[in-house]
Formats: sequence, structure tokens, C-alpha cells
Amino acid sequence: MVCAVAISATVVAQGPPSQPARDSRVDRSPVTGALAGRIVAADTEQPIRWASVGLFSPERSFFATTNTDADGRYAFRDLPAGDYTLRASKGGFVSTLFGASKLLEAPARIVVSPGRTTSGDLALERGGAVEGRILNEAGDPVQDVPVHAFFVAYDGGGRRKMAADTVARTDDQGYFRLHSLAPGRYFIQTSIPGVVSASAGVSRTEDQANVRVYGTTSGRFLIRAEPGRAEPSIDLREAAQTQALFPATFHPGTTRLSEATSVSIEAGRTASASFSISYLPVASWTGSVEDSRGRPPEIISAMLRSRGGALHGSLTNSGTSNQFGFTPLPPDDYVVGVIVRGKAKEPEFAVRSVRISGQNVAEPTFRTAPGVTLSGTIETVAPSSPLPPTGISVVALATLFPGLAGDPHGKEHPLPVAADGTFTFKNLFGPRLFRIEAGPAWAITAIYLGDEEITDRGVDFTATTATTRLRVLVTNRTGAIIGSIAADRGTTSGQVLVFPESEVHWGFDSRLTKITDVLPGGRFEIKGLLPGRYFVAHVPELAPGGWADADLLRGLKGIATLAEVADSAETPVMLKHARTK
Amino acid sequence: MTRAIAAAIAFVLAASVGAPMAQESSPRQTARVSGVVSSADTGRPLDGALVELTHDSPGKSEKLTIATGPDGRFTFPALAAGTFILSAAAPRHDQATYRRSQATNAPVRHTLDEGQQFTASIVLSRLGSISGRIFDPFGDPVPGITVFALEKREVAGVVRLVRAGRSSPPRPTDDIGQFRLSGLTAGDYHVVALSGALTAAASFSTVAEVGGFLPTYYPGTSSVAEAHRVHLGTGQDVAGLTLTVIPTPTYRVSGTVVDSKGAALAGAMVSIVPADGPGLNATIGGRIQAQHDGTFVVSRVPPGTYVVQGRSWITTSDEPGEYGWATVTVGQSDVRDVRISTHGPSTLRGRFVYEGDQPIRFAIPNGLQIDMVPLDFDTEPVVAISSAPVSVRLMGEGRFQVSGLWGRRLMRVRASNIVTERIVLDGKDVTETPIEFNGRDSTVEVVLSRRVATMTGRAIDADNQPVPGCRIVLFAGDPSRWTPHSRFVTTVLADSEGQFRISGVSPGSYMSVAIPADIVGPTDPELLEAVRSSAIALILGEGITSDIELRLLGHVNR
Repeated sequence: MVCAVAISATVVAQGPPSQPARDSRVDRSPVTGALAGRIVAADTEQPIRWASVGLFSPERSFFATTNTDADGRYAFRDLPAGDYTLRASKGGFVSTLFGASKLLEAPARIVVSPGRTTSGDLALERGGAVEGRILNEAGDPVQDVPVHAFFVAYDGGGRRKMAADTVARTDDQGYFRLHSLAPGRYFIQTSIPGVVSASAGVSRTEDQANVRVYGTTSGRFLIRAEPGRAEPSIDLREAAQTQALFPATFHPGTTRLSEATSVSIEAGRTASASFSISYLPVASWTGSVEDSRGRPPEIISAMLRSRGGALHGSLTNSGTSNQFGFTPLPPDDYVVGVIVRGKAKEPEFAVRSVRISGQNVAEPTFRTAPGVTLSGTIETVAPSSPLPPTGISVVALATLFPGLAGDPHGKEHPLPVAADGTFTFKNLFGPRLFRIEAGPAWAITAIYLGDEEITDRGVDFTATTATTRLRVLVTNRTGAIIGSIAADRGTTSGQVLVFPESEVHWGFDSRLTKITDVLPGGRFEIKGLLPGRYFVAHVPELAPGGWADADLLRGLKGIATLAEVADSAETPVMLKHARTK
Repeated sequence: MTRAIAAAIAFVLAASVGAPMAQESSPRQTARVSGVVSSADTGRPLDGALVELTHDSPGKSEKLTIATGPDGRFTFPALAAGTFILSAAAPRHDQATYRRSQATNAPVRHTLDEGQQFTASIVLSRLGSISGRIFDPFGDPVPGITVFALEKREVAGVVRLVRAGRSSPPRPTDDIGQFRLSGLTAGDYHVVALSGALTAAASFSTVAEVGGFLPTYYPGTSSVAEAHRVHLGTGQDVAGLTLTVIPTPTYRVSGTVVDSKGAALAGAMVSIVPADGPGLNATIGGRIQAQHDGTFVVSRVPPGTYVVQGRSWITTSDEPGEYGWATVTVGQSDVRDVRISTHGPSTLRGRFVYEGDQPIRFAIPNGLQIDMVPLDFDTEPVVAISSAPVSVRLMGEGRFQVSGLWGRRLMRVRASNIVTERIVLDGKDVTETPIEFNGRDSTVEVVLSRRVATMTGRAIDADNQPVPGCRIVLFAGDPSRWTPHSRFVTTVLADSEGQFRISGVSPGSYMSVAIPADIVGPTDPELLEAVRSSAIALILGEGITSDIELRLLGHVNR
């Protein structure tokens, strides 16, 4: 959770000036109230001294801060009546909003009534910390750079992305400490912000001419020449001022988010994450596009992702220009997807593979092409009941460019299936995975494109894809898992995750992985499961899309219950409440 | 580096250099600068040090950087004739310039001739650190505390306790109360823990005063006199210090900032600085912004005496804005209605007169330099100094004008073969008294004399050997003349043969002594009192008094 937010000094909570002496003829009711409380540590119930307490009401532009005293108590007086958000924080504890028990959950508002003092007690959970050292390739410390702890989150495509970060700076030994973190899994990332003016590097010794040393305010960085290429001794005048960017590096030392290892943070404990960063020259990619007629089109949107899946840039509505670009890009393989308005105002598409190795790339003009038209049917597999005439849709999930604006398909645009089970996609492009939206008992057993089974593989729709018929086979003779969670203290909340035993079926939008909210009383119910063996686990907090993360699922296996699901049967499962230590 | 001399402007009217030599159309690049970088304490070569050469040749100016290899060597080949400045830096070492002028501490610009092979040995001192944790009296670590290392340095002619180490924004203590002070040269330091109004946290105003901590010195006292100093050897890391902060009630200081026209100075920047503690408000002290109506409230102020400063929010070199200050003592209650009246910069006008002569008609003496030396930094705006430099105009008939002045300044006039006899402002002698610049302009008369005394000689040790680089102090015997920047207290460093020359003093009777160069505050009255009985007495007449031999005082008891 983000630590206490900076508060402008300009507005200080000041109620009206002290009340004039009461006029016995006029009854002046108070219009202000007060809020007071005590901040304690959740585990020991001991008071937290000198904790920072903030009270906000953004709608009324109200911000005020105070601290708790030696007894853990605080008070706000002369408050205009109304509702507020209250936050308490102290180093070593998780910054907490009154009434919010789940991360990212909207907090409860606290109500101040005229003439009364509302009670606002808060218990803070102990936070965890992660510390380490950032070194460069030469083993020197990287000084005074920001290090971020990103909470693991997922984008619409099940790929990792970063959210809600805490930041610290390395000291002269490259040491950093990120603290007061809510327990959970984080990526640790550092980068050297802005453009680094790296002044003339030169071979380290005159005869060892294959390494360049660049000096920056954060220390030295080595740039190795390409293997097999020995640079001659360098004319210093040419090696003078070079502008470079150091791309973000994740623990344990990769620039690819997909390869980053998350660090598990536990309350009251300090994790360790030291790693090295290397200089990687970044470059830019620019391209210009023409439509299938060879004319410059209007670009609707474009997106650049690395092959590992990380999003490196996106743009929408470039206006009249048919040129676009992305920067800065560290060396990697990328794909660019672009949607334009082409012939007859129909969308056209292009997907390019791009390799960046430190040199700027200016792509020669390339053409978009119309998408593919694909017809198909949904068929039931015996002994399933027949399909209902309405309420079924087919979804063509974009696996390479989820969320690309202007994509006619994807999760946001399910295609309704006709009463006879037929459907036709127009303007399909790029890699797609097909899924259905139907009642909870329905599940996909197989999907065929012509003779080819593409159930969990999907299809890459390029202009040359043969558009034979798509058959989506479904059944509602599925099993279910129902059960409850043994109550811990207080109410049980969170979600229950069900995922197949075999890792083969994990991954992006696996049709065999399901998640459901825990109902009041700790009960849960998951339907539409094909027969097989599944792990069932209680997850108190799961970032949306997190079930696609193999790391996470492996970690859950240890505490999950294995259950056997048979069709048309309900398998009962009792779960232990997951502990957040 | 101190910023003490920021306000001085030198104006040289001497004849310029002779006609330029005939030059070839493209200069030949046959000169070379090379050398080795080594560590001061181990003597070993430094691998991976960055050496920077700022090279000026006709028509070109360039900055080149090279890294040393494992042998610590570097070479800048193929350079054109010209001048250059050479410096080196390495991680965890102090930066060094080859060399610095002993008199002015400015980097020396070396000359490079065609074909010259210039070699330099650059020595870098390792920097050390002080680290530890801050606790409260309950034994819990305290996060969010700002910790500084303080050292004694001579600033604006006065020895003060000022912030040491890098001037980057300090990191507050983390959740386990850890702090680290790095980039420190060998020496003795105080460690101070600050919170509330005296730190960046000042901009977060609170609605209620629940108390905070006093500025606390290691190991846990609010009195500098009782604090322990931490001794740091070269490159030493002192770790594990424990500093326990002292809780205190805190209060609010509120008031208004009003400009020279009587209107509210909307959005003024208000700073609060301890009046009797470490100075240099740019580095220690909290800052908040006043409201549109010029009112301000500083919360979380511990009891103590402070200088509260107000200054225009935006200042540029064209519009330096206004500045003012007030002294405030916080006892056991809030302080209200503090009024800070600001004013703009002032101008000093005047003329030079030779003693006994008519006002000067013709050109000002060679190398005339007018310094308006600030005596403290609490009572003038630090930022305004850098954005609105003092500007000096020399007009005909010996008249001059200095504008952009603030605070309390001593006027110092230097030129070769001239001494200042007297500076008179409104009939009062202000030669050794600071002039206050409060928005009103002033006019002075500066009486100069051509009667100048010069002293030369050498410093020797107990074995009659010369002592290179030691410090020579020449001072009047009368303690009433030991004021900051006094004309009657002068110091220079002896050269590499132990020889020295002091000029530009009035003839008269003096005392002189040679002391180690590393003594802080050589013109400090405390020091002069301590060395006086060991100093030699001299009478300097007009002209040069030579062959003075001074025996080095190895030990000074202050």
C-alpha cells in the first residue's frame, strides 16, 4: 500500500473561530464535530506513538494531518460535519485506511456529526521490508537511484504489470530498504531515471580495448563491445557526450518483467533482494504505415509489446499522421500491432516483428490488410442438454495485443450466437483464443478450426489464414465444487481459486481455472468444471488476472486441497482459512 | 564547499595581455596530459577512477573524461596547445583537482604548450561514513528523522558548526530507525537528529500539537556542549551509533509576511532556522509557504530561539523579490502575530578618495576588488544571493555603485599597492562594522592610502628546516582589532619551500606566527589569543620588510 500521501500545507483544518457567548434568545446548535481515536498495533494491541494520521474529504478539498501522542491517541476538533476518509501510518506498519480490510478495496467513510465526537480507532498490521544492494557489472555500488517495490498485478491478457509502488533510494553503498509493505508478492525494480549524460568512456587500459566505462552521477557503468569486436583505441573527441538510458531492471537482474522473480514480503520480516544492473543501450523504433490500397490511413491505435509480453508503449488516435514510434526500447524482440481505418472505413491491421539491438530502427513503410472473416458453430457434446436459444456468446481473446483500442473483438466485445448456434466473426486479426460466455455450468470440451484442434492453442489470424469453419464443442454435463472455509477470526472474505492439477492446463485464461468470491458464512461454489483433478485454495487477496501466474499457482499447491470432479456431480471440499501471517 | 564567497565580484581594469601570437590555421595536436590516480592513505593506484580534463585551445573548448585502469594510469593524447583544468573522482573518494590555489582555493588552470608532455599525480582521499539508529526513550526505533553530520568550519569569517558531507536531500530514517551519513572526510563530527518544523516535514502542517523531539545531538542531548563528537579517520566507517531523541512539547509559530509597501507578500516562502544552532539555512531548517494573505503557520516547533525568514516565492535575476526576517523565541506556548517585514535589495553608492588627495579622477587602481562580505546567513536570503548577484559599477571620478545587497555586510576594498584607511557612512566609521542593508540605499566614502606594508620570509621548524604549506598569520596586537574579516588580521599559506609573502596591510605594529595549515579558523579571536604569547612582534613600515623567520608552532591550545 502506498505510504502516507504528501499533503499540501495550504489548507489546515480550522473550524469557525471560538463560539461567541451564547445569546439566551438564540439557540446556536454546533455545526462541527470531532473525531478522536487510538492507533494500536494489530498483533500486540500496543499503542503506536507518533503515528501520522490523515483525514481527507476530497470533495470538500479538506486535508488535515496530525500525529498520535505517546499513548497512541489523536484528535481532530472543529470538523465540519460530513463524511471523511481516515488514514493512519507509521514506519514499520502498513499504512491503513479506516474501514478497508482488503488491499485495493474502497475504504469505509467515517462520519462526523455535529456536537459529537466520532470514534476512529485503527489497528495497523505490521509491514514487511525488503533490503538489498544494487551493483553494476563491475561490482561497484549504484548510488542514489530509486528502487521500487511493485505489487504484482495483471493486465487483461494475464500478463504481469506493475501497480501501486513504494520507492526508496540507494545510498553510497548501493544499499536500499523498502519498508512498511503490506504482506504479499512484489517485484523489485530499479532504473536510472532520465537521460544519463555519460561522458566519454574509453578503454579501461589502452590495450584492453573492448570495454567502455561510462561515468554518471550514480557511479560507473561498463559497456561491453559486441563479442568478437575489439574496438581500436578510441579518439576521445568522438567518444565525447553520449546520451543513454538505462532501462528498468527487475530482481534478480532482468529487464523483462516476464522473467522477474517476485519477492514474498511477510509482516515483521525483512526479505533480501540484491542484484546487478547493466547498461543496455536503448533505441527507438519508428514506422509508417499505408493501408491495403497504398494510401496513408488514419491510425486508430498501435501497441508495442516485447515477446515476453511486457507492454512497452501504446498510442491511440494519432490523427492524420501515418507515422508513429516507440522509445526507449532496450535490446529485445518485440511485436508491433497497429489498427488503422482503411478502405471503406473498415478497420485494417498489421503485425510486425521488431528486433532492437541498440540501434534506432526506422521501419520501411508497411501495409495493413483487412481482417479475416470466420464463421462457426457451437455444438453440444452428448450427453449435454441442448444449447439455450439465447444468452450464449463467443469471445475471440487477443493473446498478443489485449486491450488494443479499436479491436473489434476481445473480452469487451462478445459475439452473440444465433439461436441455431451459428456465428460469424469479421475483421479478425492476430493470435486469438476462443472462449464462450454462457451459464455457469457450461464448459468447452474442444475447439476445431477445420480439422485442427486449437482448444488451448488458439490461432494466429494473418491475411493468409485459411478460413475454414470454426467448431466450438461445449457441454453442460459438468461437475462442481462446493464447500466452505473454516472460519478464522471474524468474517471470512476473499476468493476461492480452482485450478487443474496438471501444469499443462495452466496459463493465460485457462478454461480450466476458475475463481469465485467467498459468500457470507464462508461458503463457495464453482460450477462448470470438466471432470478431472483440481487444486482448491482460499486466497484472501488476489490481484485480478493473478490466476494466470504459474509462480502463484505453484505456491498455492502447498496449501490447497486436491479434489476429484466428476460430471454432473458436486464434490464437497472443506478449506482451511488461508493465513496472512 | 562553503558558499561563503558567493557575493564577491572582482573588477579588473588593468591593461590586457599583449598582442596575440601569429597562429597556424589548424593548431597541431601534439601535447599530452597523462598521469596516475592513487589513493591518499594507501598510496595504491585507483582502478576505475574518472579523470576529467577541461581543455581550452584557440577556438575550442572541450571536456574529456577517461577512466583509469588497474594501474591507475590515464592519458589524454593529441591535445592542442592551450590551457586546462584537471580533476579526478572515484567512488567513495573525495574529488580532487590538480591543483587548487592555496590562496583562493580555486582550481588552477595549467598552460599546455605544443608538444608538451604534462604529467600529474592525483591523490584522492577516501571518504568515510557514520551510521547507526535513532531510538525514542521507550526503546522503539523512530522513523522519519532527519540526521546530519556537523563539522566546525570557518564560514563568512566565523567558525561555525555546519552540515558536512553531501548536500543532497537527506534521507529520513527508515522503519528501523537507520541512518547513514556518507561522503565524510577525516575529522571530528557531531551527529544531530532533527524532526518536525526544522525538516522537510515542516510543509506538512498539523491540526494539533502532540509533541515531537528536540534537536538532539549524539548520543542524546540537546546541548552541543555536552554532545560527544565522533572521530572519523580517513575512509573510516563508524557504525552502530545509537542516538536517543528527546521528546518535547511542540508549538506553533504564526504570523504575516508584509512587503515594503505594506501589502501582504502572498505565497511567501517562510523558513524557520535555529538562531543559536547550526546556521546555513539552506541546509538546515524547515520551509513552508504563506497563504495568499501573507499569513503563515509553522507547526511542530520545539522550544528554542529561531530566525523566521520570509521571501518572495519566485525570484529571478531580474526580479530578486523581497526578503525579511524576525527573531522568535518559543517558550511554552504558541507564538502568534509574528510580523516579517520584507524589503528589496539595496544599493550602496560611494567614492574613493586618496588620503590627503582630491577625489580620484582617473582610472581606478589596478586590480581593484570590492567585496561585500556577508557575516551570517540567517539574516539574508540564500536563494536571492545566487539569483540576483551583487553587481558593481565603477563610474568616473572615483565613484562606484554596488547593487543587489542584502543583510549585514562588511565592505572590503582590495587592490595592489593600496590599503583601505577608512570607510565612512553618514559620518560613522564602518571600516570594521557591518553595514545593514534593509531596503534603504546608503552612501559611503572610502579613504584609500598608498602607504602599504609588505612582509616576506620563511617558516622553519625546530631543526631549521623549511615547513612547506604551513599557515602564516599576521595580526594586530590589539585584541579590539580581531573582528571578522579585520584588515588587521591576515593569513596566507607558505609555498612549497616554506616561503611566504603578505602584502596589502597598513604599516604598523603586528604579531606573526606560523601554525599548521589544517587548523580551522586561523583568524578566530580564540586562536589569536592562544598563539599570541608565542608570536613574534614586528613593526612593519611602508615598503617591504623581508627575511622574517617564523618558527612553526606545533601545538595550539585553544
